[in-house]
Amino acid sequence: MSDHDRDRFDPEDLVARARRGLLSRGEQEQLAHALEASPELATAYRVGVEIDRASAVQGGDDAVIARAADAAMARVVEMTTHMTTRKPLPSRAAQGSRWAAAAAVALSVICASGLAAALTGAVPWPFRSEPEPAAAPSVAPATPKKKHKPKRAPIEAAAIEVAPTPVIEPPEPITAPQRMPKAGAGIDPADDAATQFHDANEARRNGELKHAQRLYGRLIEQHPSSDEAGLARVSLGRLLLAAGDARAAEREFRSYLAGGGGQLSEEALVGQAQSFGRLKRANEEQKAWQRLLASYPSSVYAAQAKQRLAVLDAAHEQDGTR
Amino acid sequence: MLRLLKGGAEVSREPSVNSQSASGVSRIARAEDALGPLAAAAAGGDRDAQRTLLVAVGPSLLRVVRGVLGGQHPDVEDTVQEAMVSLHLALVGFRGECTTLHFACRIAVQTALNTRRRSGYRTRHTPNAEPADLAELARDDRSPADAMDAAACRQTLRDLLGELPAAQAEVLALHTLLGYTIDETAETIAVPANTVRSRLRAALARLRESAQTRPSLLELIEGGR
Repeated sequence: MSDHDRDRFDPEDLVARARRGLLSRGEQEQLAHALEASPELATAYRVGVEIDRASAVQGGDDAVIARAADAAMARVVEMTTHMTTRKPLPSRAAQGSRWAAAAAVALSVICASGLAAALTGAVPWPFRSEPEPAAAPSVAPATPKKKHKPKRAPIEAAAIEVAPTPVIEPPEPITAPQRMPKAGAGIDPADDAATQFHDANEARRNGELKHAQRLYGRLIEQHPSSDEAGLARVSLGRLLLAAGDARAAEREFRSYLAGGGGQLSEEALVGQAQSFGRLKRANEEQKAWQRLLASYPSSVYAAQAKQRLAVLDAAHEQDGTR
Repeated sequence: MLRLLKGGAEVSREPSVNSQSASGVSRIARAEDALGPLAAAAAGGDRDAQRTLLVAVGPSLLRVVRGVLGGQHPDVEDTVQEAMVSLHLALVGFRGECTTLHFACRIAVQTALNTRRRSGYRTRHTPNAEPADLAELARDDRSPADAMDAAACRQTLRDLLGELPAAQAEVLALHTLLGYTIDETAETIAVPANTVRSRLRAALARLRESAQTRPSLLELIEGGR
């Protein structure tokens, strides 16, 4: 192997290729030298090999994947159904104008980004469904499910529902902690923040959404300065947004961000933007998406934020030419 | 649906590479997106395509989530489900800047990192909880001491993923958990290769620092060279 060839890969790439069994004899020598020379690289290589060993396919993986896929599909269907049943279509949507076309695009983005963000990362989506016990091959065509069929169109319908008619409302003052409905029976007020947070998450996972809201609210009220209270605000915001209370949801996201944010700032910004979208507060929605892009330019939500901003810009122009 | 899958190469658990260039010099090149047609159909609203896509990327998502959380973490299945829903809905914004599989894995990495951060609060208050890796140890065919060191090796990485800045953690996860090259990582997260390189090297330096605090782990690493 010539010196010229040896320069073709980063040492890190040699490690990656070695783990895939793609190294030639010369490259193996090159890797050996690189590992000798760099303790960091040696660590990465060893850890990578251990990860490969530990993450091998396990018995029952197909069933795990099939259950997760079925549950994920059921949740998506529930979400789209929930959104489409909130309001009838506005009559203007049928007028065939440029505005209607822009609105349709805008709202498909809102629905998709909203749902995506609600489900990405920080806070599991509240709608749960019982996973089906059936196992399926890992790369197999899907078995058509009748229950999904009638619900294929709701994204487009919901998109029109949220057509951009900017109504600017003054922001509500932040009053932390927010007063939440009183907790139900069985909640021990002596619980510490960690226990309450755990219980609230359990309730959310079990689909007890109202109970989860109460527990998050109680945690925020009783331990407002705890780490868990910050996380609870984002979780509560998601639950409220999913339940259709965008105003209360926005308050929670805003409170979290006003407290300096934290690990869930990205999710909180997305949630805030979605809340403003639902409230048809276009200017504030625009600012929230812009803030997201400025703070997290390579966010997985970046493409959706850009799309939404383009739609909002188009709506502004449309308003200006009327 | 089979036609959609048939259109590309067989879906692989690992990032696929093309090791031959036109000049005959081996190098890593961007692979064709075997799942591209399926992703397009899924984004278009085809329910069968949507589910098939989720099942097709499922093994990779599971691998990522197990890598970040630990194989026996109670939230593994939940997190895979979260990642699947997120992928399903994020497809609207996917413009093919990287392969569908890489896009899916990136979402899984972020979802799992978020789960890990959240569960950090819980585990901090339950220090007597059984180690997540305990069951993994039972499956390891090496000596108990070696298996413990290997588990410590993986745990060091997971701990570090929760401590690093998000951008570094993401790059470290893609490289170490999934074995992505610099270019693949750059494509996946849409940043220049040099940015990936610097983030990765900073993260690896931290990983090395963490390993140095555990003599047995250091021995394992140096013995494995």
